[in-house]
Amino acid sequence: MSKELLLSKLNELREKLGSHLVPGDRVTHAAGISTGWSSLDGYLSWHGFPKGAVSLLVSEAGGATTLWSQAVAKVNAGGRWAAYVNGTEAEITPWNLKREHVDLSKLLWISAPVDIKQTLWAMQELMSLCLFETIACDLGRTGLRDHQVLKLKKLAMRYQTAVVMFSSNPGIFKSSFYSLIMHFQEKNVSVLRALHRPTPHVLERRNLYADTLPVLTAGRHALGR
Amino acid sequence: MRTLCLCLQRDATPSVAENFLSFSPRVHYRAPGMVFMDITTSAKLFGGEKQILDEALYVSREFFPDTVGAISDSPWGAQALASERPNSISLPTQELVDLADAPLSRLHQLEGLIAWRSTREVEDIVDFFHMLGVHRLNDIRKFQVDSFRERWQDTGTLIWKRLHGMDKQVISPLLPSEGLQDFVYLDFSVSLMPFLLHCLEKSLKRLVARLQGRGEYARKVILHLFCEYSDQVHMIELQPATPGRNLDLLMKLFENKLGEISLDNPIKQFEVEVVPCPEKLQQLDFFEPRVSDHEKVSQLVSIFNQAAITTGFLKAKDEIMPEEAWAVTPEFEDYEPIGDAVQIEGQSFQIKPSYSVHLSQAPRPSRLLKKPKRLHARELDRFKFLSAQPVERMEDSWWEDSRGRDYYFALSPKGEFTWLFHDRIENQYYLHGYFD
Repeated sequence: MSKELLLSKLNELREKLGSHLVPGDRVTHAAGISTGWSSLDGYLSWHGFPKGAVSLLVSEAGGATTLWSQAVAKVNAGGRWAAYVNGTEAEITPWNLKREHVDLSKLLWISAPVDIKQTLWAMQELMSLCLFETIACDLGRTGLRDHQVLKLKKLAMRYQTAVVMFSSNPGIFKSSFYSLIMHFQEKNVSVLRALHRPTPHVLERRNLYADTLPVLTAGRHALGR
Repeated sequence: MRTLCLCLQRDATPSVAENFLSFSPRVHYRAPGMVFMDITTSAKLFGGEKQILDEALYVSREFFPDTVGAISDSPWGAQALASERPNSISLPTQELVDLADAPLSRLHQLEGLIAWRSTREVEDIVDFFHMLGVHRLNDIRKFQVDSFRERWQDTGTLIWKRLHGMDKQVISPLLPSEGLQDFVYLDFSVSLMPFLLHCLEKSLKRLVARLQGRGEYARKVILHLFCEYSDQVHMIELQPATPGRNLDLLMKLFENKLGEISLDNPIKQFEVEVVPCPEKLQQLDFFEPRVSDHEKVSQLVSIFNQAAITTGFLKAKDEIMPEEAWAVTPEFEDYEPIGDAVQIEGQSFQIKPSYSVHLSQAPRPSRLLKKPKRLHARELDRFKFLSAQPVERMEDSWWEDSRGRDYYFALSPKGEFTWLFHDRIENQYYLHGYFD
């Protein structure tokens, strides 16, 4: 498309929308919860996980739990609460959370619900308490349908909660109602969807793995003993 | 704990438990059709246990005419007594005496808040003792717990404990969370107002009973009528001048409103929704916090526990085996690692080593598999080990279920940072967690 055509289209839009248009510097973005990963926070318009929205982290090669734990540590530092709904296969444990400086007295742990219906009910109950800043849920290999994500999004908007869904299935249905979709691969992390930002956006993984290096070091120390 | 058990004799929705909240805040519904109430403190408000039993039966028989009940020391005892001697009361501490002469088939009712995993297991126990010529509950109490455990494992142990009054079941407070709604699908479409009113009255009656139990009034009642031959939906909203739960008044108001609607297109289904408000309004101090965060969380924990979802706070424990080294507690309990200690007595000393300090620094995965996953040789070949030697060796005391485990870090074929162990006894590799 030529530059002239683009400009004419833009002028057309300006005429149509008129007073509804706001200059770029006056645009305010929704609040977010910092993930502690500066290159990701800098790229996202919310500077972290969006509040009042639903995010999907597809953790094919791992790293999603650590990213969320870092965000929770920041939430806890402000004296606020977080909740985690476990999946059917694996459970989140206290050791790594402590290492990430998560305040375990402000993190509610919920065992895996029996089915997706119970998961959604539990999420609704958690959000309606108006207490949790962020709620994460491990979906395992199952996915949510469009209407389910939409309902969760409405609830998240109402209670201003940052809802984060984890999945280990790269083929999971990626609803357009997710505000943020990230795919954790072996060598990089792709942001497949982020509102008001050009996507896909690829971030190098080594930044994230830097956090797991102390674990390796501790392992070497253990070996040395 | 004094427990009142009502056996409704047919299945019902869990919301039926709300009808009985006026008798005790601790009410539990278990399918099929069992309601348990902790009446330890509330019985005296009704003038005694006999009176509370009569009242509860009266309320229940409104919807379930064949209801029977009993009061005893435990939920399972009350359930068995309700079947053995309906509408009776076992005096405190006399539960086992009252059930002593009951036939062995009563073991089926000795379940309480959680139903038996399989009735077949209990049937096996009954058949076995019948074969031995034992036919009364009291007679099987003479057998040792080991005999029960060896033959019927967990179910056997549980039965033995209950027969000796050693199993405690606690009824949590019921916090109504279901919406006050009733959906009725009519067997055949209705175009006659009297018949529609008749169906509506039954539905409203159920909702009013729940309001009564919850101690709430109806502020607004919304009725949706779904027509059969189109997508047309009639909506009627009732808002009485003063909130209440007068069924006659509501029916009269509905009758007037329905008169304005044409029923030429017959009604196939309808939905009634009640918007409740508290029975008593209490002015709280403006600056007084209504509910603290911890109270909110404990209420939520209670709601989730009712739905069989374990909820709570993570607590690390001083245990060697990773799967035993943490627990979930309903209230937060802090964990302080304990260091090695030296105990000196006169000329001698004893070193008491502790695992805690090393545990808090040891590498542990963020996500642990509920059950370690056995890796076959082909799968194992695709893992890339990060060290030739194990990073940690774990071994429990030899008298425990000792599993000699060598732990390794490895990258999975997908690139996940995993925690594997080699079981030195079985000579087998297992995947145990992810550094996710």
